[in-house]
Amino acid sequence: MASTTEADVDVIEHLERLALIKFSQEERDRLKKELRKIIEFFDQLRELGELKNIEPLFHVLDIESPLRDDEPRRCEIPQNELLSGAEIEQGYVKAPRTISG
Amino acid sequence: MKYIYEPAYKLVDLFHQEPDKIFDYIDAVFNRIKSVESKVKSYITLRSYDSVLKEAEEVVLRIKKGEHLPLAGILIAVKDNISTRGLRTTCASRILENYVPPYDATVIKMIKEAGGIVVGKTNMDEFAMGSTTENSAFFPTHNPWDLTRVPGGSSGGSAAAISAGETTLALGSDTGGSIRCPAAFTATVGLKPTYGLVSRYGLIAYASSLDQIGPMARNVHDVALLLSIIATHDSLDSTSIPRIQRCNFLMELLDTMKKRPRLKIALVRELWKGVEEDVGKVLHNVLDKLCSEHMCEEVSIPIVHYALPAYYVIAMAEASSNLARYDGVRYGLSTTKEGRNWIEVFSEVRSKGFGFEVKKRIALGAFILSAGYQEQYYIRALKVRRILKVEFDKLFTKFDVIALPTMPIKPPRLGEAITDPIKLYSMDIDTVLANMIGSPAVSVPAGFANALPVAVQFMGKPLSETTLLYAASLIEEITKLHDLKPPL
Repeated sequence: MASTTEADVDVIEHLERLALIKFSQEERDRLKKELRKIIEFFDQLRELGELKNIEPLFHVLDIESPLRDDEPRRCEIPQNELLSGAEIEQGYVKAPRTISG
Repeated sequence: MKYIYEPAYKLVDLFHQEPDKIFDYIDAVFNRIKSVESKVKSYITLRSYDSVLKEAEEVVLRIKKGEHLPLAGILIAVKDNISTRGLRTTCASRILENYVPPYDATVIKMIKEAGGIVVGKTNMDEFAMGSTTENSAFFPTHNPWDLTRVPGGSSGGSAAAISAGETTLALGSDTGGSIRCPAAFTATVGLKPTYGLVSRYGLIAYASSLDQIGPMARNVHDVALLLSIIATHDSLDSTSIPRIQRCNFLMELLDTMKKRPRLKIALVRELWKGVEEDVGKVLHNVLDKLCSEHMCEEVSIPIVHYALPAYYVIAMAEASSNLARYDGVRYGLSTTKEGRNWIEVFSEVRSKGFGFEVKKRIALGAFILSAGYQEQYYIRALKVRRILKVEFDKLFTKFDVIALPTMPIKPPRLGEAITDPIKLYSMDIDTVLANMIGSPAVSVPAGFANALPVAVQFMGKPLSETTLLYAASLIEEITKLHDLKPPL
């Protein structure tokens, strides 16, 4: 592959949007090379056909998600330790805007 | 060298008779670290000698009061994705470079109760994504058997630390072979427990349906000892197997060794494909001896061919949703938020904080889960997982264990494997299966090819840890390879 084709750029930008991650130019060049190989590797699974009557196995354990009784318990960790990287304003965690304007 | 390559189970006995010997032992290990750490680079964070000594004093006091401590004073290196209260836990990532957990993982709590002492946090592939420990955001770890080679991964720091005599025991985590691969490459022993046997509370998640914490040591007895401490039900982990009682795996192993039951061992043909010739020779030599006393039979399970791509699809899909928590808002790396929108801030933190392999897996995972591709890749991979589970459940009704290579190749040179993703992923061909079906698996040294470690792996049905430890002990008997000291 000599240069980044438009299709490659589209795919990488699509991935960036999906994953909320930005790749540097150097990373993009590397990703472009690797992406095709990895998708081809995944495409081996298509050789198996539809696998119609097989239930997907999300989890190996046959247990139901256990629920604890809904009883309040004391948090043993002080809040300032739990939110060590957070900016706190009037008792709230400060976050970036979620809507524009 | 006194104490440094002594097995933990023997040291524990000694320390109950002469508790003050714990101080000599700690001195010896710290001196060893001083002399070899610059070559091996096992640790991201090493605790200070003084703080370790202080904890040792408390352990000595407890013994003198008459407490029996199954890990009395034993130093344990902990992979840096397992939370340790007050001790930096980075996951070998810039995004958690300065993260100090406010709580201990359940396994750490149990180790402390048993009198074990955490000595430091070990290097790994960033977020456990890799098989060489070269994906650490900080530095690569070197294989103590050949410093120009990788120690395997992702728990490479833990394996290298044990092998180099920089600790006596270690904890690793295993999502697709991350305990067994580095154990194999460093001639140590590593066990991935049955899914749900060891609590994941406090383990920084990579792929939650595959991750397990497990013990690593220089011999099988020590692995059994550490497993006994960490394996139990934990209500803080919703995937912890209910009603699991504490089990003394070391006692059970010793009992089984006395009875010496004849094992039925399966050799799955598809799991021997692509094994390097000299690696295969070492393995066949050992297994021929094992099979002279036990029943071995070759079988074929063609679907195994698809385990590796299915594993990577599932692991990346789960990673992309697990790693969405690093938003720069509550903990970890952050950036200015004032006047900026959420998408901008979120993208910036993740782009700065994650290395290439992690970003790649998150992006591919998001792609696999996106509309139009989910059925094609993710759901299909989960169906392959179902077929694998059914096939192996059937196999385990006829056989006690499967014997297979841990790694099909010898440890690569640093920089050699990391350039081609498929070559790198293919290293995991024999290890991912156990994670896909939730089975336990153990790796034990089988010998050396061209002076580099080669290991055999045993896999069994869920909760067959004692049988696996027995099989691994039989290999130790045949090879006499345990508590090995590399020429450092």
